[in-house]
Amino acid sequence: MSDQHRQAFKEEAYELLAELETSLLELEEAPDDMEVIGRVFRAMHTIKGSGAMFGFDDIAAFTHEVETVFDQVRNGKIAVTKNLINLTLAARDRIKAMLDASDGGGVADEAYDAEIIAGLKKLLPETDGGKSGTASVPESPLPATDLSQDDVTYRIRFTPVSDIFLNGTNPVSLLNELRQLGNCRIVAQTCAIPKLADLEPESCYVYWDIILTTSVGKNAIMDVFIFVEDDCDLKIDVIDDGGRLDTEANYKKLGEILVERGDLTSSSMGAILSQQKRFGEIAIESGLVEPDKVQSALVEQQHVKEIRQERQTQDSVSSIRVPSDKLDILVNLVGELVTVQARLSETSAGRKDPELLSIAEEVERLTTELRDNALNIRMLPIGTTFSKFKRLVRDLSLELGKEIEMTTDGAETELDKTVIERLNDPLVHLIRNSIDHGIESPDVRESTGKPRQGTVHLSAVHSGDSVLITINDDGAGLNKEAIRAKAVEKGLVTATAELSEKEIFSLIFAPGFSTAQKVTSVSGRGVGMDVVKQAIELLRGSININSQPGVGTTITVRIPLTLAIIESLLVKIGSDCFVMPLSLVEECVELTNADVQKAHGRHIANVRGQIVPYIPLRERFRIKENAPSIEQIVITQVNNQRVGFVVDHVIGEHQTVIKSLGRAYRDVKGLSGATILGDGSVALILDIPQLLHSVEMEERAA
Amino acid sequence: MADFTIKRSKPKGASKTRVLSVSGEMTIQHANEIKSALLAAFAEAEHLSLDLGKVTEFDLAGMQLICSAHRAAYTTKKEFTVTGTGSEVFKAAALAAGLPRHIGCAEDVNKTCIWVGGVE
Repeated sequence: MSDQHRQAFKEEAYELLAELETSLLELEEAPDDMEVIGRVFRAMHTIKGSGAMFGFDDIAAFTHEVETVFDQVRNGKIAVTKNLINLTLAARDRIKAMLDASDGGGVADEAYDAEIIAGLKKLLPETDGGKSGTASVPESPLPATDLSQDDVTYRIRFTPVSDIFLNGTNPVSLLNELRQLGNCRIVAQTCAIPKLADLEPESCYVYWDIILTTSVGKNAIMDVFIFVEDDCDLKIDVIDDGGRLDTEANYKKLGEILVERGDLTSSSMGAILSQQKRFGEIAIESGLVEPDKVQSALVEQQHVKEIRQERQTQDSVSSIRVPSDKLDILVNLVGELVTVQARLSETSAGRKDPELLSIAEEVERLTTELRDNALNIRMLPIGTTFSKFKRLVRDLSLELGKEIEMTTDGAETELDKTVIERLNDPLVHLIRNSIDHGIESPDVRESTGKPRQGTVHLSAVHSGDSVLITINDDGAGLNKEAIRAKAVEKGLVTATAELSEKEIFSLIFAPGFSTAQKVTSVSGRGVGMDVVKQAIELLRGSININSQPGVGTTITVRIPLTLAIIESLLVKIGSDCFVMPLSLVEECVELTNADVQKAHGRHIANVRGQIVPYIPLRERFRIKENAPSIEQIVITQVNNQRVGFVVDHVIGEHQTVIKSLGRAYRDVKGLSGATILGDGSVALILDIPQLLHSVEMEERAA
Repeated sequence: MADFTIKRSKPKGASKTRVLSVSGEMTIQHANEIKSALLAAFAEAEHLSLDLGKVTEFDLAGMQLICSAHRAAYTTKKEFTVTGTGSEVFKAAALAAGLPRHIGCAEDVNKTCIWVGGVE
């Protein structure tokens, strides 16, 4: 089997596993929801079926066991319990691990697998209801088989070999399995049964024509017959791919069906048809309708057919699956294009050629649209990550013996795919912290008059060109005194320092800081919040804490929508250009020599009566040329602090396509990347929070 | 399995008629036995009635026998009727095998196929 197919299977399987997880968690809340049970079953069944097809035998075998249990659940023989959900979630993780392992060739933990399966098997009722028999048959298709858009109708001809009974197979049980897949019509073909005298009573003379409408796909159907593959002749054709329009009427003519099934040769059908006149001809001959009216009706008929066909093809390509690295390439190319376009605009502005100017403007307009569209393709709803967190909260609260409910809001908020991926770890950390440090144990909560069950609320909302993600818990809140004491102990602040609430809260992001009394497996090892902050800042985001003792803590993370292209402010120092993210910039003011002298050598400016500290970038970057007599302070807002950065000139707003610095410059602090300007020169992108941080560290050391 | 029996009886006043009642499992284990009984009954009767009312389980081999007997009957111009098809067991088994249909097979000229209509 080619790697491409295996890859496609893996992608599908990962999606199914994610869906499975969501469904299981849903099921935990509504254990009687037959639709959700059906969804769980179908996901398992598809994983099993396609797993076996593509050579993932371990996955197929393992999933089969879990599926068996869920089959019983679906038939109402087993109830959905917490234990069942736990085991199934564990099983789901194992399947995922097997998938992961298939790449690196990692070793599957067979003992653990066996444990899960044993646990599941215990749930099975004593009498095995799976015994193939003719006694109980589902009367009609299951409730789970509503006609969804993905439903495809197959024509299956199943012709078992005559000694199939002797192999111990009951063809009827296979039919029953098919019935479970969807809306199914089965017709047994008995014409091959001989007269009694010639009958070999232990042979099978019957074959079946089955029309099955299902969403599970051909693989799942083949899977039903997997054990009799060599003992039967199986023909599966798609006869309807689920277009809603053609369900109305106008299905194939009887003759066509017979030919397709191979019951009638097309030449004999032609012979039969030639004996019959078309309705149109009959109508004309009878003189009741004029020929041209018939003609016009025929045209209409043809037209409608064509439209339907067209619509059908449109339906079938309404979405395609593209590997994300292809999208990355697209966005990169668009980035290049934006750069070239900037250059074109600049060049054309210099030429004063009206024709060139209008072309340049057109290109600019198109580029902007192209850029927005390309970036839009990469947007994903953040909800997928949210559902992962639901699982996390569930597992952690079990582990810590706390009762915690997780609620979410704004799961449909869209963010760049890369951002979502990179946001995962920091958010996991923050949620862990809320659960471990924030939410109290049920007894403590009860004694303080709170409900036993704590709540962690996760929400995402758009705000300008960024997304605000808030994690809100109704736990104990941050203990200001404890944080302060710890900070003093670690030497982060002096014992006498006057600190505002915000400053105290921001201490928890200092490296090596942890106030947890005891180290749990969840958190408290002091690696964490500083890493979280770094990760968020790498995404050019910011993080903010608000907390009230006894009421809870709210952590707000602000993340820009995309990583590839940002709005920025272009500035100049000497002959070099630099770029600052516009989202951080508040205002620009002038800094004259006189102002500098007034401050007596301290880097402080007076902006409308407010003291703003500044960092002279010329000094910092050791740019030799002399500063102009009037410099500019770009005032930014970083971690709720106003800080100025002194540059020579502010050139203006700029669409910056971010290029990462090469490997050699990866560890350079204070720079987050580079961009290419319209004239082809390179401008470095300043990492404002990092610059501020390093200056603060130096001051402290001094 | 032990209680599988086939009884052949002759209703009063109808010398050409035989009634064959099967009880127990009409499955592959007894298929040969049932076949012989059917053949024997056909040999001495013009009208054979098969009573399935006491059958506890059908499988495909069993149902195949019914079809085969029916086929044998109309090729030899004998009469063959099936009774006791109202039981849940029979209905379920027929449905599971996809036997119920609108028209009988090509040889069913007298329209006596038991799978037509009725069962559903």
